[in-house]
Amino acid sequence: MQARYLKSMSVLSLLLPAVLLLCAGLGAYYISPWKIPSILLQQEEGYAVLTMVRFPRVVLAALVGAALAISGACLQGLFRNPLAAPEIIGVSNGAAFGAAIWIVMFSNLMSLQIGLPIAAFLGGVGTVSLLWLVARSSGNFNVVTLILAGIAMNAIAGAGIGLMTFLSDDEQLRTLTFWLLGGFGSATWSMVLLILPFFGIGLFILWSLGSDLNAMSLGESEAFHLGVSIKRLRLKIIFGSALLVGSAVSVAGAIGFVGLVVPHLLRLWIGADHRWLLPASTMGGAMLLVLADLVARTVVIPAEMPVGIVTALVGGPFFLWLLIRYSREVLRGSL
Amino acid sequence: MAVYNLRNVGFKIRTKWLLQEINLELPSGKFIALVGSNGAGKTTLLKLLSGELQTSQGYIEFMDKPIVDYSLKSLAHHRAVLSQHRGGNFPFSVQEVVMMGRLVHLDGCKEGPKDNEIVQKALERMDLSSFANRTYSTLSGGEARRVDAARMIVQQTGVYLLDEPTNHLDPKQQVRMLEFCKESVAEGKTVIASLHDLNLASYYADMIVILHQGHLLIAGSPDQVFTSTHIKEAFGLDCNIWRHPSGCPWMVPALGGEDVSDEGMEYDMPVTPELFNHHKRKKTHVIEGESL
Repeated sequence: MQARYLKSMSVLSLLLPAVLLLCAGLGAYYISPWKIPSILLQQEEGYAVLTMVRFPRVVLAALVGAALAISGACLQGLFRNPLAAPEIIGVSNGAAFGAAIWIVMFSNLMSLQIGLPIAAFLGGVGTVSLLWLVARSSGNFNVVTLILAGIAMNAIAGAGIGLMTFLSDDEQLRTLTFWLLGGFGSATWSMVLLILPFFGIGLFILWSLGSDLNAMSLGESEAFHLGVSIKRLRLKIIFGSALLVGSAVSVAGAIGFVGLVVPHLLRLWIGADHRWLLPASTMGGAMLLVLADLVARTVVIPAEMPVGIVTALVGGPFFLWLLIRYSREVLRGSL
Repeated sequence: MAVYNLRNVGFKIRTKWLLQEINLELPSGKFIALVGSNGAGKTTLLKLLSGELQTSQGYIEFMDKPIVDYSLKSLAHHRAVLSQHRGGNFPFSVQEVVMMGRLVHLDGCKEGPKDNEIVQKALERMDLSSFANRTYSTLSGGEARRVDAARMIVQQTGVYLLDEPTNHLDPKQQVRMLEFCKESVAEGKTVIASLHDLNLASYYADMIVILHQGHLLIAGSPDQVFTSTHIKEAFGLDCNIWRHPSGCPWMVPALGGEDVSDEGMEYDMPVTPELFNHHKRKKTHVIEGESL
């Protein structure tokens, strides 16, 4: 058991830097990944492209992907449901709503960059807390309830974003529209630095929850019997995932399906133990989004496709496949 | 010594009292069976004993200390629970599910060889060794129940609380589950289980607690508790009480609507058809005699 986990974890941790280097090299301006170290050391041709454009972009995409994937894994654990993901249950859009409020209502404070991730974080906290309330009062939170609640959340957040668009003046509308398109086209080191603290704290909170989430998969009462404080676990997940999703959304817009696809694929590969699944999801999410971004920026050179389209093209069919796969359990009411 | 001491315990949801005026001492090192009809309050009482629910009235002492003074972790060190719910939407293996029982002992660390050994032993005890790598969520109801029981064992506590442990089990597995309870008591543990099968409760348990509509009807040894009057009151069921060869009361519902008495207690269980007929004739005779 242990050996299997160790093997897959080492494969992942070897793959991650390789994927990052590869994606830093590939693009409209090709740089051989093998030459990257020497270019960096001797500041040869391509140095500026690497350090000013590719690296911040790859690192930002990796951080965002990691944030979405680990939040997805934790939310799935909290709701005991493999279909719970920040995009589907409305957390991403809730965070986007928070950010939109910031852009439109507090536009005189726009120079205060840290406000955007904080607003997105608050939007995320609001959404997860509301979902949790719905889950508690409906007793048995099965996948149908969860997805319906997600539709409601997405609708509310969508209406809120619409309202903000309606209220905005020309200048704000430009910022808002540009931001809503999302993607990593404008990635800079300052954006990386901006979300790094949020990312660090969120990751620190969520990574330690592995064994509690394992117990939680047995049921709330069962986790309580094993000595897990449900209240504290829930609070940590709401807070941690809102921090991560909020910071991800604030720099890249609402990118779909990473939080759904990555934990699920990894569960098939390495198993369900959250103590391994959480770090694995972090690495897997980083890889997936960096690769998706690579596709987005190379497939229609010299133009760029929004990365959200790429993830939706992969994730949408995947989600349908999951629904078909689980449809029997859903009908039986056991999910 | 009493493991649990309940003083005037009541529990209500909004204005509806699910349990009221429960005064009860549960002795340590015994097998205690909670019986009662559906909705009598067995599960609620077990949840109060596990600390999952808190009393609305009165108080519960767990090992001479108010149960509300225990932290979650120290509760997990002292009592383990087998509940009726079965979780698992994620593909955990049987071994992993059992290992979760070690959570409070691991305290954030990864499991060591000692934990693995404890889990292996529990799997063997529940006849699950060949199941170790199976996926928990694909098991049948009865198999999953045994896995849950193995998880309870590895928690290494002195008190087991079991909510209808024989549910979903076939007759042989029911007996095995209760044998396991009995063995645990022999090891010095206290086992408190809600049971629906009165005869199995009578045979295996040292103490019976009958709950009726949220109240304590009676508590005591099977001999004291299982009388036709009590059964009639608690379950609304006419029952003849006979005596099992082992000496415990054995209840036979009066399905034909015949008169009911405890006089069968005078006799051993009829083990052959002849004996049964003989017993019936004799009984009929007596009743006829009375009516004449």
